[in-house]
Amino acid sequence: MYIKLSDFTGVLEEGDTLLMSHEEFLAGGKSITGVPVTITPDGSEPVEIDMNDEINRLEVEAQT
Amino acid sequence: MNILTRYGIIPASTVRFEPILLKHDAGLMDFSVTGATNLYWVFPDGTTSTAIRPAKTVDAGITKVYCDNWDSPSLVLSDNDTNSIFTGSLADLQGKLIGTLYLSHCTNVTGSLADLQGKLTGSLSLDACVKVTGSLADLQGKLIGTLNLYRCANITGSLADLQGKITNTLCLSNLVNVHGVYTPIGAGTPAYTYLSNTGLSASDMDATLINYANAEIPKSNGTFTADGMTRTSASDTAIATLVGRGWTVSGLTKI
Repeated sequence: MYIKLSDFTGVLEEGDTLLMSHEEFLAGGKSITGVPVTITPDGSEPVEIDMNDEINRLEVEAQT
Repeated sequence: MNILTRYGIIPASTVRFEPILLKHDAGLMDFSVTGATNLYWVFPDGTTSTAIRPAKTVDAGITKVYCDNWDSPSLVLSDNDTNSIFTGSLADLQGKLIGTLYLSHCTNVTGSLADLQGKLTGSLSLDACVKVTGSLADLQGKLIGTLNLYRCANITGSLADLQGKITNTLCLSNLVNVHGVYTPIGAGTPAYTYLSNTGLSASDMDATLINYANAEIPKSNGTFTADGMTRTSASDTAIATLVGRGWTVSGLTKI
């Protein structure tokens, strides 16, 4: 799950990802090491993309 | 023009190029061909179709597909929901295709990327084609649309082999033997990039991110996902630049 930078205690559970905005990244988030980080423009959770759905999208796109 | 047609031996309308042979088990033969002229299917039971996507339930055997323009860059051959009953090889395509090939979930397809003879210029998706082998270099850097080799664990090579032309999706997740640096050329920045659990080093990742940020033709609102991968402070500025352009950068651990 995503853990917002404001809720980050310095440790993440396995499988968790630290989430921050562009502004937070520039303001010091970029210095955080040792944990997986996701940066989005506004700090909102990214839309999870299911690869099977993605592949279907590509195939449909190619046929239209 | 075919010589038989030129001299009036047989009418042009009946001349077809050599077929592509699709070997399959029994089940739904759901291949389609779009962008073809004079498309003609011959199924193992002898029945035929001219439909783009016949969706025919077939016995095990070989379906022959004829058309006059396998060498069209806009032609798309797709397995759709044929999936695991397709038992052929990439070699069966005889290097005829130069457009787009989708064989996603064809878990029993065999062959090497080299069998495509470096001719594809559109897109290639072999998601979950776990028996396919070869190197990214075999594609000869011609693809400009999508390259999806998700879960094709036998594929090797360097991102540099792609020659920076991919514009839509670059998905190489779980290819542990793929490494190197992607450098966009012109508009060749993928809008969607998936490099999770690959063989890229932290310096490969840094350089790729820097190259995306410094692309000759900058792209906005992209997605760069690299779960399980690392980077260093060398890519701090590149990430800031990309996210400032609306990108989402996911999964990287700074070391």
